[in-house]
Amino acid sequence: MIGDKTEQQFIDEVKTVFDQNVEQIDAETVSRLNNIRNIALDTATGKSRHWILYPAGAFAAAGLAIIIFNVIQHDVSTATIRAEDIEIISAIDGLDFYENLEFYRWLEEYETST
Amino acid sequence: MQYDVLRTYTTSTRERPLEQRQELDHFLGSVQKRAFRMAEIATGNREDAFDILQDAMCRFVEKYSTRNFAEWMPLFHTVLQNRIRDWYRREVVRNRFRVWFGQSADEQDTNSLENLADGRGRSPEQQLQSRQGMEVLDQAIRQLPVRQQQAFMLRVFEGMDVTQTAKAMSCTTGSVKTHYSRAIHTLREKLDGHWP
Repeated sequence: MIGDKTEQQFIDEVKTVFDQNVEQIDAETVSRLNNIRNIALDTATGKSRHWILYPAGAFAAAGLAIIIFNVIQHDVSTATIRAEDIEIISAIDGLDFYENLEFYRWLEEYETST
Repeated sequence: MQYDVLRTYTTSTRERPLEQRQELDHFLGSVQKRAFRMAEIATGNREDAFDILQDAMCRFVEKYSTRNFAEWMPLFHTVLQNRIRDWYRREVVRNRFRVWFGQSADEQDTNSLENLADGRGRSPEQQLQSRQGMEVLDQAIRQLPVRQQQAFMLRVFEGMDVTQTAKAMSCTTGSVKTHYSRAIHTLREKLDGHWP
């Protein structure tokens, strides 16, 4: 009965049971533990998986740069089109002038040549 | 214990990479079985214990391997206990999902001391006689709150003093004393009648 034992006796018994249990760990478990330990040590000696991150990071950065560049380009062209649209809409000449733009250009060239 | 032998290392490992690997290998080799069992007791799951130990070892080697050897043991257990706490947090979330998906509390409660004793048709005394006394102890420890588990295992299994345990648990020495005292009291109650 535990009630008959001192606290220290109980602790000593528990520790003994644990120590014996640790010593009885089977070979397969120990082998897996050794494997885990080697993985951890490889991490420390530069054989870690982190080297994979460098080219991956470079590709990601390059991809991001291309996307940002395209977005900026797209925004610039969009802004240009929008400025032209506003100019046309707000022009006092009316839309008929712009619809016949090709004709007016031809007329200008014809008058200049004659 | 192997750890006592390893205490003789006192020099810095910062400038000696080859020797450092050997010392780390020796240190981790000396603690791996006990650390694995502690993780297994805490989680009740062998595979989770392997995962926790691997995470702890990798983290320890990456972060603390350049520290003085005298600091390795408490630092390693700090990392290990943090990983075990993380596991508990994730387990709380998993249990919530299990409840939502309809698993009853009765189905989850398959690990109690009584179920373990009765489940294989053997009395606790027979289990102890057949080298399975640790299972009874496992279950009793697992039913403790996490902080009490940690204080108990570090103090009793690893033989750490109160200050080292406080460092490993990232808390005050007063908290360690409280958790440890409650753990001992609870374990004596739970194991009474199941312990030789």
